[in-house]
Amino acid sequence: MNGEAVWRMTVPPAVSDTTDAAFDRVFRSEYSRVVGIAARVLGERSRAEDVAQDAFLALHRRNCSDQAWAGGWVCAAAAHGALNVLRGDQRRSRRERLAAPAAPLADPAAALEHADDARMLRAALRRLPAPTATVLVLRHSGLSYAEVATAMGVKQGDVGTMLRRAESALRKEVRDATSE
Amino acid sequence: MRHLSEGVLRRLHDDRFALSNHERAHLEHCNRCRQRMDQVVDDAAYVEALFAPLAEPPAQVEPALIRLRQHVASGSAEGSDSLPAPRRVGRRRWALGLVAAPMVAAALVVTASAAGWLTIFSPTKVAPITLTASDLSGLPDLSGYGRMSVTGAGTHVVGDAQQAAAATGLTVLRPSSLPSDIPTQVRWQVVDAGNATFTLDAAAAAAAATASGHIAPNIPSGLDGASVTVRGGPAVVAVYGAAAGTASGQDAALAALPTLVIAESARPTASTNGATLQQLEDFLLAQPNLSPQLAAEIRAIGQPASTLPVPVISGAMTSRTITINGVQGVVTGDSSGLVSAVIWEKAGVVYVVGGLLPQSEAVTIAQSLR
Repeated sequence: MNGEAVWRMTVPPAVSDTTDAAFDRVFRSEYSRVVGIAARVLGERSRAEDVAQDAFLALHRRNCSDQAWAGGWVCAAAAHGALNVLRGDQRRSRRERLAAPAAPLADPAAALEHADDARMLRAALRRLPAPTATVLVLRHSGLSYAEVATAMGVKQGDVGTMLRRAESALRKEVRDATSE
Repeated sequence: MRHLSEGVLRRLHDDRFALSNHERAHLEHCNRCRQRMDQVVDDAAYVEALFAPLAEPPAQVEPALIRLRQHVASGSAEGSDSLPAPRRVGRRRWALGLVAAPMVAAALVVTASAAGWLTIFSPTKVAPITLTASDLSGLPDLSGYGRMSVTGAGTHVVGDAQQAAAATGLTVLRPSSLPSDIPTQVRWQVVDAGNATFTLDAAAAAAAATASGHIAPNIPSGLDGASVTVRGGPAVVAVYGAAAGTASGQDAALAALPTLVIAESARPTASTNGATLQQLEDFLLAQPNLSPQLAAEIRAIGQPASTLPVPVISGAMTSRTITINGVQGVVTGDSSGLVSAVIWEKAGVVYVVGGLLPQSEAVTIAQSLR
């Protein structure tokens, strides 16, 4: 919810009618990038494509594809959607642990997983506050400072500060997790 | 001149023309800024190295566009202005509140707290409170207002109802009859009493807001440092026909729902340190993202100190009040009728009966508890 709260703040209202042509244009120019954003978070192409579909459906519904910020908006929507799914995975796995208290605790694969950078990164993204995780995902998916600013509804001059803090926080999060 | 900000240094890492001449001259002569720059570059390179292997090959755009057009044409995306993600999450959170049985009581309170209902209360009845998907999305982000700490609330599996009663001191009620298709095997869980303390912290709120590029919540000086502690439990949870929990995919949360959960918990209470109930309620209800409708609905509950609100997501869930064993309860469920729950409070104990059941069955089971 935290992410969504911030996310909502950044969402401009639908302001005009749009044509299918405008939507198609945004879709064709942004789809690959949007899938890439979600896939970085989820590590699973098919789920990333589902998240991308959801993000574009949301854009379609809002009738605002002809706005200059539509591309950034759909990138942020995908990042938020993917982070939500990632957090859902965590809740699910937590529940599965509760539901199976007799399961063997020592998982031989766990040690290997721990060494897996991608898993570590995703675990950290799950724990970080949503805006922090979002700025990391967007910037490291190749969005420019200007695009990150548009997507997150912040001033371009603030992106460097947000990114700096986010990278520092991510590193600390990974360090804390691996030293536990 | 002043030292360069870390944001400027970070930007310099991506764009070597990002500095003005003044800034460049400063950086050349300032050891401290150069050291900070080294750290900024080091952290950035570290994160870049984590993300770099995750780059994806280009996607197949046209088939995806056709898929989306089919989805739109089928009408399944119509009829709602809400974003899909928050809706789904809302439903899942609710489903978890039902299933993550050890946390049933805590989940109600925490969800309620998240709904801006951070009041001092010792509820003696329950009432539904309707949230729209956009309310849910627009709720104040409490983590940005201060610090939360949780203690206790550990869970254990016990052998039977007697052990559960002995461990918690609760009188464990059981259904006098069950529909024949409900598995009779029961897993008993006990949740220790626990508490969650939330402390409003203006400095932390300002820092979080700066980090996210948003306006800091205006925490009145009288409330800075005030804390609220919610105490819940102990609780007993009986899970009938627990799912294996191995499903995957978007509906895994639903697929993993047990057939029936019966939970009871000592009623949650909240206390405060440093602020009055009225101050906290006024503050929370004044938050900019709380819709006027939701604020009005919260106010309309009346007697906030004695009512446990059951959050109901408009469109995704239905709810009605009902009399259960002589007290007011709430029956709620998802709109498809797959899942339902009955929640009520009697004599200081909150009861929840729910699962993959029609609402009528959940009510019958609830009324048969002895």
